[in-house]
Amino acid sequence: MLPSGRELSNRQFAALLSLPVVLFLVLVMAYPMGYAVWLSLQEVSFFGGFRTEFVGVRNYVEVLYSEEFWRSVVITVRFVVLSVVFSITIGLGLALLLDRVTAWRAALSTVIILPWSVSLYGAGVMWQYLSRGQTGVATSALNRVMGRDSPETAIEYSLISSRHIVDLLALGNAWNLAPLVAFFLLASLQTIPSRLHDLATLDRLSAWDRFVHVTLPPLRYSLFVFTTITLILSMKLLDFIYVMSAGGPGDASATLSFRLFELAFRQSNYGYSAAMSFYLLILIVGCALALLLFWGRKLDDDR
Amino acid sequence: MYRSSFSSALEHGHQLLEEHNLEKLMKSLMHSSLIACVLATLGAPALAATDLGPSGAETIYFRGWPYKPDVVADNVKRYNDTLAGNVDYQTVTHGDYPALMEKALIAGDDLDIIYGNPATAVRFYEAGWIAPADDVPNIEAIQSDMYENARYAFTYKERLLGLSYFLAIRGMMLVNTDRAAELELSDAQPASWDEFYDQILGLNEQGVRDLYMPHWFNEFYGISWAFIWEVLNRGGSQIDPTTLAPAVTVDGPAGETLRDWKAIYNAGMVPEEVLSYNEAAIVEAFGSGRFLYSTQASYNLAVFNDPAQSKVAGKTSFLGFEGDGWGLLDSALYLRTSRERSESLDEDTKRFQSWYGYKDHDGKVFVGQRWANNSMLFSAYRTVMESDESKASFRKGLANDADYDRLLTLYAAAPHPHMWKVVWAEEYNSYLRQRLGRFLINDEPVDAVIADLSEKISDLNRRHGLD
Repeated sequence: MLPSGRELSNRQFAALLSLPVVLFLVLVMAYPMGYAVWLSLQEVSFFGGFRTEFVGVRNYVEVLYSEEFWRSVVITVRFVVLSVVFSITIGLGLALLLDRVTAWRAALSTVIILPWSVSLYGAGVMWQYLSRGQTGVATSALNRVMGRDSPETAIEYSLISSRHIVDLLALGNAWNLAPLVAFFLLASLQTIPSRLHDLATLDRLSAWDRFVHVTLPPLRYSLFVFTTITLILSMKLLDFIYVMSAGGPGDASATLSFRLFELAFRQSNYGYSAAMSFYLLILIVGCALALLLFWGRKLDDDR
Repeated sequence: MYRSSFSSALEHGHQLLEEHNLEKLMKSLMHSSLIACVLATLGAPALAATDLGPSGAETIYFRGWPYKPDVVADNVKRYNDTLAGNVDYQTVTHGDYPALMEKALIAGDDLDIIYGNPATAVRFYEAGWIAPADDVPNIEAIQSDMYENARYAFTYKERLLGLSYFLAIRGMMLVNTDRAAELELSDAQPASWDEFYDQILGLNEQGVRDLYMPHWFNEFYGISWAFIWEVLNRGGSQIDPTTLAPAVTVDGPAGETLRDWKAIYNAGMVPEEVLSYNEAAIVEAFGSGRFLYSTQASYNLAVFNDPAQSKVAGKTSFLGFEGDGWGLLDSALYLRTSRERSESLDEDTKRFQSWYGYKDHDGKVFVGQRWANNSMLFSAYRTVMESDESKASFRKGLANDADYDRLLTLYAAAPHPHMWKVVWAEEYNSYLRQRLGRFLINDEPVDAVIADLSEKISDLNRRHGLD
């Protein structure tokens, strides 16, 4: 309540509660962001003596003219869309499974949460070993299915190919994220009163109709939140890609975050990579806002 | 004067090299070999234990990539136990070692002795992060015991940047002798890259499979280095050594290399996934016995000819030097950082660098000899390379006795790329890795790649103020 006795609106109250966090974030973010902006306007060299040269917006312009940047944008979009679709679909499937089962539920929950507890580095190593041509278990299985299981032809069909590496990375990323999605969706699922399902049965709704009209509506908020979270996490993902494919074969899986790593850490092109990082930031914020605008607002309106 | 088989091999290599306009390199190698034979025979006196042990109690931080870390840890333990040292050893991930170490140095981490390849050392020296090794204890003996090709690789702007960790030939063309015999190729081995590609493309047309596992893996020393040495072996270079201007041309060795790569890739002779391998994967592939040829590092001969580790034990030989050469001189150094330290810690670091990178308190090149004995790693020092222990160990890693002299001849002819004496070599290397992979996967035109490489070199020269 304000001193005048006027009550705060919901929006004002939310802003007041968020203020400490916003202030903290500003404090924490101000220096690195400011430094990144400064870097993006410079050409930096550590060699032959540290020196910087102010180049204005040249780095930003060069990024836009770079064929590699646009290739990475396309790879990133493909990777993120697939990661979100796989994570949400698998997560929802696992949540429905956990909601239904009664026996061995605790054991099943433990097994399902395990992939999320594996570090992205560890997940990358594991997926790389699964899909490698020479010794990969999954590759061997694929070759057996395709009738190519002799040692001489073991790498006839490889999972690590430029055509499918992004799909494989998205699947591995979803393997890591889906358990988290599953447990939050499960929490929402368990808030659905059982009588709604009973009523749907009385109305002789089909399984699909029950899913669409009874199960899905209470999950809309959780789905929106986790679509946004998986989208952001996937866009900035580096460790898993670094370990599993290192952006390869060639640069077939060089997402924007991997390209940034390559430019900043391997090629020491600090100004140019700082400029490119702002395009990634714009992409992340733009996509998150678009989701909010076209989906989040609709959820608010429906309420 | 004692003449080792190494020197004989060098002379043989000398004759071959003269015929192929590489005399200059060889002359210097021979000169230093002769001078050094005298010095090595006389033997430089070792410093006393107290001269190489620490004078204070401060910790020396020693970091390297994880190649046999158990052996390194044991070496360090010996120093700490014997001389009451305070050396702290840990490893840094290998896959991106130069980049990771560079960031650690930018961040001002506590580092005293680190591993580095010559190109990395040049870069770190230009950034002011490492100090030359010209002032470590025993430096006169170190300098005189060092082969000229190693000294050339380790020297920049007339300063010795570090002490020898290892040397090797990377890109030597290994041959599975069983498969060669089966294909009746034992007496028809190629003498140059042109002949090599003609042969394997011809065999492929006849329906023979699994002919070649190239060094195209996805690490900083994979496909990029393969391109660098093939261009060098064909008599070309990435840059003009004087002006540093791009020297890659469509009609020159770079263009020829790319056309040959494209031919074998498009013929389906190399699976795409090789471009995502690490070094262990190509070692595993050739060790399986499937492939006729493979470009590998010389020290892997010990792995391939070991029945416990490979299916081609006793059957792994290599193409000898017949004019063009195969591969390049791969090497690494122990570098001393130039971080701020107390005077006593600085002195202790120099002492440890000398003990670890050359002779120990007993006057033996303990660490270098150990690498030669158990890993077939060459050393920059005659004391190691010409010892009976090394000869016995190297012979053990070879398929037959005749290969010993052939190996040393190839080693003597292995070039150190001039490009590695330019500060941006690591950046170009990283660019090459992705660019060459994309060229193969997307079947891009050779002239487009050459144009991109030239543009990249010009851009790097401009960014580093070298244009």
